[in-house]
Amino acid sequence: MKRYRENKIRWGLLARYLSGESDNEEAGIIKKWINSSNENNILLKNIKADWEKINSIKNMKKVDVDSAWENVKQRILNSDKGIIPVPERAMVNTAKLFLYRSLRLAASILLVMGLAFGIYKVFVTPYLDNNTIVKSGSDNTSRLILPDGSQVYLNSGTLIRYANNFGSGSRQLFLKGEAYFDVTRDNDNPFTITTNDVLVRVLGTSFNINTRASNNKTEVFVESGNVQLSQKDNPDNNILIEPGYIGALSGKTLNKSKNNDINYMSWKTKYLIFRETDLQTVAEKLESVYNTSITLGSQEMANCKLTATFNNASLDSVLKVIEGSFNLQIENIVKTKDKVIIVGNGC
Amino acid sequence: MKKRSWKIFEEIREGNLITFEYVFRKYYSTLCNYASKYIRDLDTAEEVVQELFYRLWEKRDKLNINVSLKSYLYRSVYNGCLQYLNHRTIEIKYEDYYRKQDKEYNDDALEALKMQELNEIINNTLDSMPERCRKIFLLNRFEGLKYREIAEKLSLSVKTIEANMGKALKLFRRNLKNYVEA
Repeated sequence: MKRYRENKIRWGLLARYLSGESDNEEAGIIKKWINSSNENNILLKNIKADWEKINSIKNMKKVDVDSAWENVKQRILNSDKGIIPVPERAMVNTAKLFLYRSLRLAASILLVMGLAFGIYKVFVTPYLDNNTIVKSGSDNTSRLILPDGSQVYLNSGTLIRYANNFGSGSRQLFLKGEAYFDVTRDNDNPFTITTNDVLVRVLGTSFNINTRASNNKTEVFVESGNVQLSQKDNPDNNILIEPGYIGALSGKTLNKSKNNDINYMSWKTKYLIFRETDLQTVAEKLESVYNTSITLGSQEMANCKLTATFNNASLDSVLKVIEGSFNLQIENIVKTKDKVIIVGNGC
Repeated sequence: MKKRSWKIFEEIREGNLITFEYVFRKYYSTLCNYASKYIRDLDTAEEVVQELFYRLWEKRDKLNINVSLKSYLYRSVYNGCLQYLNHRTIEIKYEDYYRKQDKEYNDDALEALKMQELNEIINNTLDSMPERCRKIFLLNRFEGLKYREIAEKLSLSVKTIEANMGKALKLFRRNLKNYVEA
């Protein structure tokens, strides 16, 4: 200790000191060392702080990461979505086994379904009309599963029409209104949707089509996979739309833009997020999601900012929250039932 | 195993469960600690975080994240906590509630992000130490053993303990130098 040199940092000694292992003599040496230069003084302060930081990590509440991961992994492996798209290399052995069993089960179900469909097609189809038309009510959404297993969610007042032999050779349907499609993948059998102005072609993906967008244009919002959008009269004119983008036809030009509306799919999810959103925008969104008409009583009110999240809430409870937030008076005209007037002085 | 955020997202989107597990193990503990600031009960906080990870995996093909993985996870946990609390606090003044929570979020999230960063630095430093050095350091700092006790436990001399503690201290100083507290 007596051979201590000024410029060399003696980490071992410092560690002893911080750990409370030093006796009085050593503590004296440290004090001397601190006082010998400002640099040393700062260094000691810093390493003391390091020590405290390490302690703060130590004080974190302990959780069992292993068993937590086991929990989540089991949930993932037990849900359909967790299994099918997972590349084999990323899976553990139990998952492989599970995948194999699922596929085997799926194959046998498909076989039975195939037989049933064959019988249906040969003996039943000829006696039915050529087209199936499905229409949703004016104030409720509905869900349907197409013969190929694809799912369709219809927004209110929406119509789809498809041939009864849908699924054999081609998958085509006509849409008017707004619907969300979760299309079962079939590489040999493209899924085609026709609207008044465009043609939408996919292999398997999920997306939303709204034929009631501004100026009655069709708008296609892609959630996953790729969607080909083309002009109905001129299918060679087409673009590919990636997830997160909205494609639309304007005149003869097809264009796409990034979707910035976090509530784009709210009509289906019934999940609404508002972050400092002005009441005008909120009202417009509520109109489309709840299929109602909302009138704001004053111009000032349109600028009120709402921050709230609604999950599957009824229109009444949404209005209650708005009322509570801004001390507005809300007059719900019950007679017409599809009209709301928000009266108040603004914020 | 250091990876850039976008690479991690890409791999998760492709369904790479191993990358997902890596992310889970890296963030789980600090996220639970963060959630337990809002939800007092640690068990429930763990449930919220597990639910978040499960959902993250479930909708991985729809992920469209423009922020860093870290902020995404903390934001999600925060939202998850709010949703949980929401179920229990109906009929209150939403505006005040959210405003208050939003302010709290900014403070707490910053705090939690710093904690996460610190946690990473400390864990990385521990990982980079030679096995013996790490063992000695953990016994001293985390289990509160005296030098003499560690020496006995590991059949080493007290001098060796001292040298290794010094080495650890030096490593920590080097790695924590760049960690600046606001």
